[in-house]
Amino acid sequence: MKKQKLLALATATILLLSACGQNNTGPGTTSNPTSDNSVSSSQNEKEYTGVKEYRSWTTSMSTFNPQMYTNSKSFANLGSFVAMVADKDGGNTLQFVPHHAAELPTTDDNGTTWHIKLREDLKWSDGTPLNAKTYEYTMKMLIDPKLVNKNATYMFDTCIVKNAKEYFSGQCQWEDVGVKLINDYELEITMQYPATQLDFYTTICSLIWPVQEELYEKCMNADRTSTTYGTSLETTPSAGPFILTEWITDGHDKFVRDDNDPLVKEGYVKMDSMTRRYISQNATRAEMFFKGELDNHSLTGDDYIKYKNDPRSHNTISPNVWGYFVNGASKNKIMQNKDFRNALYFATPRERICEDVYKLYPAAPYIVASGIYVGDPISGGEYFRDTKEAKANTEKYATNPEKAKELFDKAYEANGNTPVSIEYIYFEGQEDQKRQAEILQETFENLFGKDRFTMKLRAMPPSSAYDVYRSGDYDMGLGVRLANVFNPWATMNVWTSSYADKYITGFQSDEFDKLQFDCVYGDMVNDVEAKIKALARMEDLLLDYGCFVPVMQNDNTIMYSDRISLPTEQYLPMIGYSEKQYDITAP
Amino acid sequence: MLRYIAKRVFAMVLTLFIIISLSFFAIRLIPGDVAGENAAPEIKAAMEARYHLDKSLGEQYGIFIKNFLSFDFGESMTLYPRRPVFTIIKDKIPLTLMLNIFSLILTVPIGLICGVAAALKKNTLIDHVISAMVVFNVSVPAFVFASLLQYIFSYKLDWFPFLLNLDPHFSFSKFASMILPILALSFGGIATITRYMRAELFEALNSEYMLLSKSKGLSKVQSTVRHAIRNSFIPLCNVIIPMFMSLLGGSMVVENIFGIPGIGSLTAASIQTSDYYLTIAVLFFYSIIGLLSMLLVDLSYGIVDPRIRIGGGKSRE
Repeated sequence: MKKQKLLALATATILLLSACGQNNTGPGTTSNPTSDNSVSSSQNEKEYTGVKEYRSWTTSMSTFNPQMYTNSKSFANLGSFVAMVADKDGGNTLQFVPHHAAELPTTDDNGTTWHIKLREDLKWSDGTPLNAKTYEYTMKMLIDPKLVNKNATYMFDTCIVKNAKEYFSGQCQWEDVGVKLINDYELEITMQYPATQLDFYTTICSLIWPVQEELYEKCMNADRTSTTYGTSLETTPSAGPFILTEWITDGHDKFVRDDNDPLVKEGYVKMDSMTRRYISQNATRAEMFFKGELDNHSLTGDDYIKYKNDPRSHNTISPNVWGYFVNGASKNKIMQNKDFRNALYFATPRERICEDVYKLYPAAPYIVASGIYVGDPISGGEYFRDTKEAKANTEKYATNPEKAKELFDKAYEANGNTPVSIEYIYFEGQEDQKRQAEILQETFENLFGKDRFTMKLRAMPPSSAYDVYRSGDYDMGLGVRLANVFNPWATMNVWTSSYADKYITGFQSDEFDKLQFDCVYGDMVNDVEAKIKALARMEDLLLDYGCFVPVMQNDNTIMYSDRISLPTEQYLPMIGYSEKQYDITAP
Repeated sequence: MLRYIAKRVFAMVLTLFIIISLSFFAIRLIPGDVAGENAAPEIKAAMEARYHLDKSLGEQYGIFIKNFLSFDFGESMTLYPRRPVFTIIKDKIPLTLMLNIFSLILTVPIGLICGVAAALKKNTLIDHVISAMVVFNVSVPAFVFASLLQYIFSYKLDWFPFLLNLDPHFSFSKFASMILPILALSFGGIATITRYMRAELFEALNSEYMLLSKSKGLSKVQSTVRHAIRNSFIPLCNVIIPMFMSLLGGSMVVENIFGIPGIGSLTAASIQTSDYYLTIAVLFFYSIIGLLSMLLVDLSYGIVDPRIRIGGGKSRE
């Protein structure tokens, strides 16, 4: 009996030692450069041939009508002339590839007339042919004056198709619009002003998704002012890399890969299907992600602090900068003083606001965001903020409390040494907005002196705040103007004198107006170097006047589950990590 | 009785008209932009013209009333672009209705049982436990309940799915996914019914007619069931009937947390997005529910207690 006990003890000791030994000779062993674990993992990745379903989420998907949508990333079920994709060979670069087009569209007169040739074998998922006539009908409906489609601007905003705006306003006939059907497989698009290849590819070629004529007409009301196309699964046909197979409004949707799509045939799409649940609560999304029921999650708050350096976390770069509109035309006399406005700029504690309140967002002492790309991403472009012109602006306009104090003293003296007071508007119902307003108030009052400067805080809903900015009845208020990633010059139009929907700031500059026009429609359209200099100068003019105090850039961090393999390690302009190209490496 | 109902229906129509008119002006006065912030000026102008927002408020009201009287409630402007507003409401009702029916099936009996138990066992441990449950259920907001349920039973214990299963066919997995939202929807109702039932029954148990019934030889159970509980139901009509009517109402918080595409969040979402037609349609829908439930409550008094006569002529001397 005693012997048996000793034998058992010895056996147990041997097993324990051997187990410890195995641990010690695991990943730390250097004799074999490829550890057992990694081999097994990589074999699993290679060997995974099961269903590749990407499980994502969204907060809303109100319509699949491509002419009325508000969420452009949701149209996996539709193709366009040109697709923006991540390089297939892992080069971490953005590529333009012909999708419904047979080849990349060409111009023979420096950007005024464009020829688009379509593939001859294109079909909707129900078998209906899709050709140049489909696109001609789509464009006609997109800018139809009776339908008033929200996305009609794709034909007359950055790139202006000849007479598109006039047709939309009911001032000319369709025949006068610069869209001509050459034959069943070719379209000719004539622009009002020459367009760069990049602008043409990223707007007309990428944002106009086709509609199926027969169904569109069937869904149209009697007086042709409205169509229910794309408002239910039955009225949403597919003609892209995926087919929409399930959709419950505000519930979920599902897309299944269409093996007949050109992008799929060329190997750009690896997933079998994509499902999306509509989840409005961030806490629910977080719990589902960490439980393995979702494949991505936007990090916020404590999760961001905890996981920001996790290898699964990936940053996104925003093209937009949030800040304060400053009204140089305010009835409040001190606001009309340029030194005072500049003092507000240099005193703004953007770094503290970002660190203490927003956490996720980097401080931005600039108007043109770091997500803005200048030049052609294929033949050689760069992020604007990496250019020497942009860096000079960043240095010139860095936060500088001493300079702010000096400028305030000058303005105070010019104001007759009498105490000044301004009002600051922030968005109500959002705790972080309130906190940043309080930090701003505390910083300004402490720096300038409470006996000389006071700041009143006023909360209002965002829509009311923007209405107030339009009316000009304000001193300073939070907000944003959206920017185009590849054409920031076009979106600078909101600061031009003739812009119809301006926020009143008192800024008006002939030099700015001319630069903006020349860069978008004039002599500089194809001169990238000149446009970079012009953009820096435009930013300089805005910051020098002090009509906008930039504060932060709303970058995000997305965490992906281990089963997702991204097609690019770098965040690419416009397409980010190219969702449609994700691969699934595990069940 | 019929005359009374006819009068009440006429008053309802008038009230509805006033509600709708007030809603129209209140909603139009909220600042907002149907084209959305940062939309191109051309689109803004065209959208405003399409929905007559470029006209004076008086003209807009005239057009609105004319369309409304011809049952043209318009289309959603921003939230679900171009969908007829009543199609949106109609599509969202079935799911909300199904969950609320299950919730009521749980709420009413449990509420009544707890109320009766607390009243019959007043000032005992049972009463204290039930009263504590009532205070807890009434004081803790629904979103806390819903989030806690989800965190404990879905995230920590993995017993139930996080979100509602949206499979069109009824199945066991679908029912399992409905349990947490049903519980979250029920807590408040259970507390309300329990509280009312306890108070009313306790009062009834101490009334003189109970003494009489007992002296007539009825057992405690017989007198409680036949007299006390029945009399306690009269004030409970005020609570339970609106609960049945609110079956169509939905809960924004619970629906958001459990991913239920119901009607609950429609009002807030439509106001936030300046979807005027949809907001008015939703308010109209809720007004009808409210007015109908009030009418039913009044009529139910006569059914529950025959001594109460509604719309009758002068009483005989």
